[in-house]
Amino acid sequence: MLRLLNLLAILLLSSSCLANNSQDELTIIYSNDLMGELEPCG
Amino acid sequence: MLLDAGNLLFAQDRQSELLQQDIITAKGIYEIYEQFGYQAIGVGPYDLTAGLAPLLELSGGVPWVSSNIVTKKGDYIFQPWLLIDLGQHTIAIIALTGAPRKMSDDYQLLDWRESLARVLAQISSDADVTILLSSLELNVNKQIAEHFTDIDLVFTANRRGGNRPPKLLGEALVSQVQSRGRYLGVLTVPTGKDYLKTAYQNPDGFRHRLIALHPSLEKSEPIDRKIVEIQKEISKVGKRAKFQPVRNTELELAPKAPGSTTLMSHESCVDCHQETVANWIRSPHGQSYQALLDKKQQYNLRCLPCHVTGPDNSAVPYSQETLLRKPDNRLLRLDADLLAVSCIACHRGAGLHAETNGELRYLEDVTAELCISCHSSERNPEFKFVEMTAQLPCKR
Repeated sequence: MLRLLNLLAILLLSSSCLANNSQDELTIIYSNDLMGELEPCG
Repeated sequence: MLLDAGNLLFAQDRQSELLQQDIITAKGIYEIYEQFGYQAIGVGPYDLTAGLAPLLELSGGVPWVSSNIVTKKGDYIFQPWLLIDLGQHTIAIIALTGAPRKMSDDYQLLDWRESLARVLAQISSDADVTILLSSLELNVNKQIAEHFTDIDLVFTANRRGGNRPPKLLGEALVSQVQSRGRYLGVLTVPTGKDYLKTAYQNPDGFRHRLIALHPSLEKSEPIDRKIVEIQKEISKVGKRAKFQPVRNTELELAPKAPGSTTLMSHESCVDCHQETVANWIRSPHGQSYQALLDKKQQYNLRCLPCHVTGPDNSAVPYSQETLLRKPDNRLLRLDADLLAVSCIACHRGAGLHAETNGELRYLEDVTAELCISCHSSERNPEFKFVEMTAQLPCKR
């Protein structure tokens, strides 16, 4: 199930990745098949 | 760069009674993705569950990409490709959408060969790196990687595919992560066509890692607030459904069995099994509805099937699997004693056993197949049938 709450990690990661993207490298953060799951039920 | 390969918004590829609730969730997810700064989302077959209209309404900061969904006249409905400038390089994003189980009349899917030939002709000369977001079958993605050498990276959306670290197929790296938001993939590749393809031949030519999105990671307040907002909207919908007049068809579908309405609940078992029931009440199954109340999710039809006992008050219990496939508004109107995962949810045959005052003693075995209908690998990856059932307090 989704840990959207924890996707602050993405923000931090993408910030650092963008900062580290050099002329010669590309960093991609990728996801798939979230299937509409937002939070654990209980 | 942040990308999603598809199947973002919906769990099913057919409409259900949950559609209104699911659309609320879908809109919230899309807004959250905008906040995260996603640069493209591939349209997956599950994203089309509610039809085209919801997707077309969700056209804000993050473009939906599909190179093979067109109108009946052949016009693209979504962005067929994107060209994104990153520093000194231009990244092309294309996407192929897999066929939904049921297609509506307002679009068609082009053959993937035709789609790729068309879009690659448009973009190849402009792009330093070409990325495909694909929700096609795995064997098709393999063919694509092997035959369309202009494509450098393929991120797939195959919900049963699990984590697939980047693998060189043909001249493209192909990768995906496990479904339901458990992981993110991070891939770093050299840019420039000359470097990219040779780098793939070298195991050190690219870097990859998986990030497990564990609940213990630091939370984000703005996202927290957004999720609470979405859950409140869902609760409103569920509350309204709870207090709507009951349709005649609902009554027909839920005939009352002979005997008390408490036939299905633990109340039917407590006279002969006092200690077991007392242990059960304190257990996670006994407290399953309370867990929803604690999270204010008691009106969420996506959650209820695994936290209550089915409404079909007959000797053959309404199976949890059926509830999961087709949750409906009856779950919002259960009697209080069914608001838990009660004895009969696991012990098939308990209804007749209780009806005959214990004379009919046959109960079906509790099987792993029964348990994993709720404790699936997606919802509960730590679940181990033998270990967990051994710990059940109602066994003591």
